[in-house]
Order: sequence, then C-alpha cells, then structure tokens
Amino acid sequence: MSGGSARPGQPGEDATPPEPLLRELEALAGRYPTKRGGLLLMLHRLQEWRGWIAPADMRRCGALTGISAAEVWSVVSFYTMFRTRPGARFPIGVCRNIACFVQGSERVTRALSEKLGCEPGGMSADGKFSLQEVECLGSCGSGPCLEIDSRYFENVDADKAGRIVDLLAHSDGDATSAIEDAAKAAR
Amino acid sequence: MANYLSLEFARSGPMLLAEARGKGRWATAERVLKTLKPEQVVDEVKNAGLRGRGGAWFPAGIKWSFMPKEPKGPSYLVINADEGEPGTFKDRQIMEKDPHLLLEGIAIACFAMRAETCFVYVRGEYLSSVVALETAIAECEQAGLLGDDALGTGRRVRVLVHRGAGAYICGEETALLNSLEGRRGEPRAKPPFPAVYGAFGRPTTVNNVETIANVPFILERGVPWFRSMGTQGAPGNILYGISGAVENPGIYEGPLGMTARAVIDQLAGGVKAGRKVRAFIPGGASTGFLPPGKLDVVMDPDALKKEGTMLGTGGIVVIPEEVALLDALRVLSRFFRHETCGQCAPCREGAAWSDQIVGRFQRGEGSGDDFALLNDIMRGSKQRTICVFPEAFAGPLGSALLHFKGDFERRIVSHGTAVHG
Amino acid sequence: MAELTIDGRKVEVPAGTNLIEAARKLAIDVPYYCYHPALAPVGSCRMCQVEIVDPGRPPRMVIACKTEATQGLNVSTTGKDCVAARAATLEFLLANHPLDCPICDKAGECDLQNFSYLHGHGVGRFTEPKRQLLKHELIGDHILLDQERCILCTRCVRFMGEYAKAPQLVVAGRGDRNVIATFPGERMHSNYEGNLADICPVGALTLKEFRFKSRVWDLDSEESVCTLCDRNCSVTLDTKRNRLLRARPRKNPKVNGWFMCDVGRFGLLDHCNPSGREEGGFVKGARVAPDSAVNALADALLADRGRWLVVLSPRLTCEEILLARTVLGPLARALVHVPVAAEGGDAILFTGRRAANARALELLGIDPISAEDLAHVAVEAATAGVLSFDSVALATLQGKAKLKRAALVDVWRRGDAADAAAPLGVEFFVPGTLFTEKAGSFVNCDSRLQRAARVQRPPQGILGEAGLLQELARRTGDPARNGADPTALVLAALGQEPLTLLQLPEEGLAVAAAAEARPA
Repeated sequence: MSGGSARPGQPGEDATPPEPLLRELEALAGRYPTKRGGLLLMLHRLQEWRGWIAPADMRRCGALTGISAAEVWSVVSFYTMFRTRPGARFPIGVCRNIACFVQGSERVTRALSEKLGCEPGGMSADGKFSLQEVECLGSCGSGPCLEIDSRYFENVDADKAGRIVDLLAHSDGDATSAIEDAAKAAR
Repeated sequence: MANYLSLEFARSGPMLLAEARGKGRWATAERVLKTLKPEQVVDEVKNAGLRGRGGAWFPAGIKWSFMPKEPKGPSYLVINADEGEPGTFKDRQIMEKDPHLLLEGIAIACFAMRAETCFVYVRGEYLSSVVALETAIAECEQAGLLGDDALGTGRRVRVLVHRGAGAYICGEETALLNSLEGRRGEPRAKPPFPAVYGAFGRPTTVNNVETIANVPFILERGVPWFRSMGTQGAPGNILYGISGAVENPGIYEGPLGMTARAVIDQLAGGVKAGRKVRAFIPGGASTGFLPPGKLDVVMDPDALKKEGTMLGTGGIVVIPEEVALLDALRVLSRFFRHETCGQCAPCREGAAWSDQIVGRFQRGEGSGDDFALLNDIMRGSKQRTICVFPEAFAGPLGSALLHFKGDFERRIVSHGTAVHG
Repeated sequence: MAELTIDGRKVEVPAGTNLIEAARKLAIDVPYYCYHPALAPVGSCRMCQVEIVDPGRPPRMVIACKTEATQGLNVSTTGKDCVAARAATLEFLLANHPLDCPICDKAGECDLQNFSYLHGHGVGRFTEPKRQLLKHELIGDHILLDQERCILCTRCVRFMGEYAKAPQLVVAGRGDRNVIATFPGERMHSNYEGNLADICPVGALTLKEFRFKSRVWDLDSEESVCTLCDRNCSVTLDTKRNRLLRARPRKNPKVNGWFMCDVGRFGLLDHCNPSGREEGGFVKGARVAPDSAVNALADALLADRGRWLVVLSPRLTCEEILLARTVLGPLARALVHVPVAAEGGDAILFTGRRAANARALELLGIDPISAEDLAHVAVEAATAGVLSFDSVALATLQGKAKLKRAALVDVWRRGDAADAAAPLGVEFFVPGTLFTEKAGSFVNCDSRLQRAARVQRPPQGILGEAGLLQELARRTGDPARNGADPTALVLAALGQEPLTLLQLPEEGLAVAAAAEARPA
C-alpha cells in the first residue's frame, strides 16, 4: 500500500506518543504475567494514536517488553491488522470470504474500486480512502460486510457502499467520530 | 425445547448488569461458589456431556479435569473468542448482547479449575465485543462479583480482555496462547498439552465462548435437563449459524441433532426464493462442501464425522447455483493460503501450492495430472504437521474433488503428460 | 538408561535422549533441518519423521527430534510411511526453491542436495511461478542472506537468540510470505555471525568472505585450532593453493561445543594470508637470506653467552616453547614472557586474551615478567641484548627503553611500504612462520592441549623459529636431538603420557586442572 499523508489530527512519523499514552503503555507491560504479554495491546494503542506502527513504536515496545526491536517486527509482520506504513484517513476492508462472497461482496469491492479510483491494496488519489479485501469478519448473517478502522458496516451493497464513501468524503475533524456518524446515517 | 442461550440476541446492545441480575445472571455462580466444591462442578459438567463448541467437540468436563487439583502457582482459564472460521458469528452474539452470561460461566469455570485469572482472547476485529466485555467486567468489579473477593467468597476471580490482531490461526488453542503471550500466533507442538504447559508456562484450559455460556444453565437446571436436549453423544442446544442464499441468514438456537435441511427451512426461512442449492458448508469453511443431496445430514459431531466431514462451529453456508463451485473453492483456498502460519513446510507450501492449482482450474487451465498432485499435497501434509491446519485446507479441497469432480474436469486444458524423471 | 530398538538393532541411551541422537549412536542418520543439538527443538521442518511400531497396532509416525527414547521402544526409520513423508516434505521444500546450485556456495555440503538425493522421490511437479525474494543481501558484517533459498528451518533465528544472545534475526510475515529478516533497514552485529553460514542447512546464509572463492570439494581440509585467543577453539581449516579460504568450527564438547567466534573465524583469514610479508632476513640493516640471518643471530647469542634476554611469545607452539627452553635456556641470561591481559572478551567463547598458548608458557615454566620490569632488566649492564619472538612485545619494550642490541623472530608484514629497513630497526631479523605453517600443539585457557596441523607452506627459504632453535641445538651439542618426538617431549615435560601429535585424541588432552578464572 502506497504511503499517504498523515490523517488530519494524526501524528507524523517522528512524533512521540503523549505522556498519557506512554503511561498506558507502561501499565500494559505490567498487566500480564510477563511484560511481553502486553505487546499486542501496546501495538493496538500505538496504531490507534498514530494511524500506523512506525519503527520508533516498535523500538519503544521492545524496550517496554524486554525484547529486541527485530522480535517486535516479527510479531507486527505476522498480524494482518497492523499497518506499518502511513495509511489513509479511512481504511476500508471489504470481506471477501465465502458467505459475503455468495451474497455479492465482489460487486461491493468493484463499486468501491471504481468510486475511489484504486484497486484493492491501493489508495484514493486524495489519500482519504484505502481499499483492501479482508477475510471473514464474523458478520456472515448480515453480509456483505465491510469494516472501516474496525467499525463494521453490515448488509452493504454497491449503493450503500457509495453512500458511506460520500458521507465520509465530506467529513472533517476526528476520523473515528466521522466513521461512527456514517455508520448511524447509512443504516 | 425451550431456548436458553439466545434469549437476549434481539437486543441492539449489551444487557447491563442490573437488568442481567433481574434475569437471573450471577445467581447460579453465587450459589456454586458458596456451596459446592470444585470437583462437584467438574463432575456435573462431565456428566452433562457438554462438548466444546469451538469446533473440536472435545468433552469440556474431561478437559477441565486435566487441570491440577493442587496447583503450585497460578492456573489459567483462557476463553477462545477468536471466532475466525468463515461462516461463524455466534460467539459475537453472546459477547455483545449477553456478556454477563459469559462472565458468570467464567466465574464458575475458574472456580471448578482453581484458576484465579481468566484471559478472554477476542479477535482483533471484534471491537464491539471488547467494549461490551470491558464494560461488563467493570460493572462486575464495582459490584464485587469479580475481583479479589469474588461474590464475597474470599476467592479471587479476575477477567482480562485481550485482543488478537487479525490471524485466523490464532483460533488454534496453542497458537492463541502464543499470541496471548505477545508472540507470533504459531501453534505449539503437543505434548506438552495446555493443562501442563499453557499460558505463560502455567496449567491452562482453553474453552470456546459458547461452551462456557452453557455452564451456568447446566449448574442451575441440572444434568437431566441438559441431556434432555440434543443428541445422546452431544447434548444441549447449539447456536446454529446460517448464511448465504437463505431467506433469513442469522444465528438461531436449536437442539443439536437437527438436519441441515431443518435448520435452513425451519430456522432460517428456507433457501432464498427462486434459488437452487449448488452446495452447502455444514459447519464453517474447513468442513468443506456437501452436495444438496446431503441436506438431510444430522448436525451432530459424530454423525457428520461418519459422513466424512465435521460439525465444526455449526456455521452453515448455502451456496446457490449462480456461484460456480470452483469460485467458491477458490475463495477458501485463497483464505487458507493467506492464513497458514507457515511454520511447517508441508502446510506452508501445500496451502499455497493447492491455491495456485485451484486458481489455474478457475481460469480453465487445469491439467489431468493435477488430481493426483492435489491428493498428494493433501496426503503429504495431513497428520504431518504441528497442528491440523492441513486438515482444514483439505476440507474444502478434498470434498470438492470428491463431490464435484465434474466442475474440475470441465476446466481442464490438457489431460496431462504424466512424465516422470 | 533406556534400551530401545531402531531398525532391528538394539541401543542403550540415557533416559531423555531424543530419537535422532539415539539413532546416531547406531550410525543411522535420521535426516533433519530445524533440529540442532545445540539448540532447543521446534519440530517444524517435518524431515525427521520416523515410525513407532507398537505390537498389534499400525505404526504411528512421530518426529524424532521431539520424541524421547524409552525402554522397549521399537522404532523404524525405513517404514514406507516415513519414507513417503520425507519424500513429500522434500517435494514441498523444493517447490519454491530456486535452481541456484550452479552458483551457490553451499553446493557440495548442502543438506537439501544431500537429502533430496537420499530421501527424495526425484520428481518435482511444481510448475507454478516461484516466489521471488531478496538475494545476496548483506544483513550483518559478514552474512549474505538469500531469502529464496531459505527453507525456514529457523536455526539461524534460534541461534542468534539462544546462543549468541543477540536476537536480531527473526521470521517476518506469515505463511508463504514468511522470510528471514532483520529489523527493517538494520544489520546484525554480533561476534557469532559466522556460525550462521555453518548451521544454515542450505545456501541461504553464506559468508561474503567466502563468496565464489571456491567449490568446497576443491578445498583441502585439516583439523587445527584457532589461535586468535586462548580458547583455542577446535577448527577445520580449508585451504586451496596455499591460501586459507575458510575457517570453520569443529565440534569439541570439551572446548568450544559447536561454534567459534567471528574474531577468530575472520581473524584467521587475515592472519594466515598476510599481505606484504617480509620474506628476507636482516643483519645489521642489510637484507640477507633467512638462513644467513639465522647463522648470524646464532653467532651473536653464543658469543655473548648468558647475556641475551629472551622473550618468548604465546604465538609459539608447545614444541617450540619446549625447544627454546631446552636450547636457549642455558644460553640466555633469562627466558621470560610478558603475560597478555584479557580485553573485551564475551561470556560465550571469545576470552579476549590474544595469546593462544599463554597457558603453555606457564605450564612449561617460562617466567612471567611485567612490561615495566622487562624494560628495567633489558637495559641492565648484565644484559647484552634482547631476543624477542614477539614483535608486539618488542615494540612495547622499545617504547619504554633504549635497547643496546635487539633481535626479532616473527612474521612481519611490511604492508605496502617498499621498506628496506629491518622490522623495528633490529640488528637481527629472522622471518618467522605462521602456526599454520608448522605442526604443533597449543594449550588453551582450560589447560587442554590440542593439535594444530600444518596446512600451509611458508615462503621459500623461511625456516622460522624452528630453524633458529635447531641451529642452536646443533651447535651446542644438541641435548634435544635425541630423536624423540617433539610433542611426546612436551607431554612428558607436563607429566603426561608421551604421545605424538597424531596420537592425540580428537578432543585434545587435559594436561592440568583447568586454570582458575582469571580476572578479565
């Protein structure tokens, strides 16, 4: 996935996490029987703050959990949810697995691809949206399903997908609230 | 046959503690922790015949009995809420609508196994479940139901929610444990089994959400009640998942032992109007494809095993005729290729290789040689790896070759040269 | 102990031994990749599958690396199931493996080649596009990574974590996107990198210093020791046309286990192939043939009997040290050595003491002297001159004192300087020999004596240390030349059974109680 501009309000690559987040990360290192147990939640929190996981974040997690930066990289690169490059403001993941597929997920993906002007794996020209195909999200009874930054949108067809994009494209301010608002409006 | 698991599923959000207590949640846990011994609880669950609902159908009471009776150090209960099996979306309902049912079951299970801490491993994508659980846990800690003095019994029961980060293989219990520990979600060779060396090296039991959700009811209403539902070998109710080309896809509670046809027709409103069934998946992606002639199979773990497939997670997916079998197969072979952890050569290469071959068939470029090759790939990896992932990717592939060979044969471009060195 | 049967033959092993090691005792080679005796087993390569035969039941397959030998176990390594399993595993591994053999350094010592030949079914049916990944990428100071050749046995990852205590190599990605990697954009740094090229079963991790230098079957391989510190790791030296091309650790449970450090592995390459080596002798500033220098120095020593101070070096073999004690002892004012302090050793193999045979100097009774005291004695009236076998010690001495006369016997690198002057400006210079240019023995920091084979020829005309000592022996009536084997004499002097060099056990010989831990 090509790099994009940092989301408005999202920190740049060199930004240091703010104090409260640092305290949270330290607390996570003490939450489990081993320091390392806190790693996945630390990575989630850093990704929520930065929008992706930067090398400095991996080094920091290594220091907090007592493992090398390379070992953190080994963990980060294993899991699909972790992004290691700056992403779009609204990363869209369309489920491509069997139940959603049977219910027409490919039509949703193609519609989004045309609307956003990019293939799955790519990003819209303005950097606001990225499109990805993902595996089963666990909404098989209400598919096709897509998620935007882990917020689920269910019973999506090509039209609804287009409406969701329109709602988000004109939003500003905090991305998470925008996604939440779109979820309510697109019901 | 009264339902008991899914009574709150129609809600739009989680049932909070006050209302939950009004419906009886936590009453059983209080009685159990205050008046019974751990062994009695294990025996009750054993006698009830509760089998694990995560896909393996291993008797829960027997699994619990592997835990040390006199632990020298912490023992753990880990709840498998990874729910990654395509076609499966039942555990979500419990966590997002009735989290106190799960927490109550956890308290009883911890008591039975002498564990003081339970980690709930929730797949990373299920943010709603995480929020619902954490809210419910906070309520319980406030109310003294969980914590150092759970339910005023002087026993400690703590529940911590952990998040995965997008890896289907973390549904395998030892891979889940590695992921919990902050590692790559790679399965561990067994032995040692988790009851001996589990989370953080301690004795651990891993149970599915739905399995634990049954526990308060068993303890409240007793063994004869539980055994009056379901089948002889698999008593109780199950949360059937039905998706695909049906009128009302969703999660429906019913007794184990219904036929797939009955589940589709009676619970999910039947096949979608005007559509015909090309194939159906009985219990989640790894259980493979069955032809419509098999719709009368009985949804019971032992019965389906005899049919050469599995009950798995009970997630039925109905595939209509508009979808080519090879396209459906490709969706799954691509999924398994994406999700193999990659530790063992046969699975890492086999899942990828078979996906490449299925892709060729999809494009109409199959070869007659590929049938023997696909069978060799499956045979060369099944039971030859650290975990049963090869059995999983062989589910759809093997069943497709068995029941739908014609679909492959129509896409052969050459009948093969069968040249050997 | 447990007695079990493997392929119809009985063997007894300590309880807890895995089936790979149990079979090895019967010279049955169960193939494996991810297993390594020095590392914790993982069981992921699926190559070591064998069958357990329980009476009355069908055989069940297990992985030998994680199965313990138990009393009465009946194992088959030739059953048709495990034979098929191995062949299948190989076909899977070869599916995406690049056809690099013609350009791969590992050819000839590659376990993928070897096991494919022995255990594969000989047919590759993979016709899909192969994975394309990083090739010949320098990921450390010495190691080149080829991700395409890698079979993901993870030995390298576990070695760096468990042994080298530097977990900088990891598996990244998932599934068929798994690769071996460092932290993005960074290289490894450790004193044990070189071992990765040895433990990698294929040509995925290779040494840049050896890249394309030779086919392994063209190498002459001999057993020796490393002399870059006083651990004296057992090694195998690979030479071709008189050049040392590769030094590899040799397994020795009593010294270095399975591995060696990079200081030694790569230091030896430099040490044994000195560029700009001074091949001539010097007498009073004029270059002469080496044997002329030997004669002139012998004259000077005998002319001033009892007045030359002799400084021996820990680079000398035991045989040379004993011969020096025998012939120079009576001739010299004193025979001494300056102990070398340990610097920068790690807690693994490298001691940091750059003095290969320091222990032998102690055990053979050569008096230690501090550099300061040496500087005083060197300029006393009773001292006519200093003969040093160690250029570093001599240079240090010259820095502290103005010597009346000086002689040096050592290997000297002129470097690029077309210098016509004698090394260190000494009156007598005799070109010395590298340890690889003579057969001899060394005693390590734990008092273990090991053999170093002669693997290189010195330049024409250089007779080295032995040349001088044997000339002196000849002139002084030769108390040493009674035909006895030099190594046997050394062992006798150490109170041991007098064995010759070739009679020494492979793991060496303990010649004293291990020295107490010395302060770093």
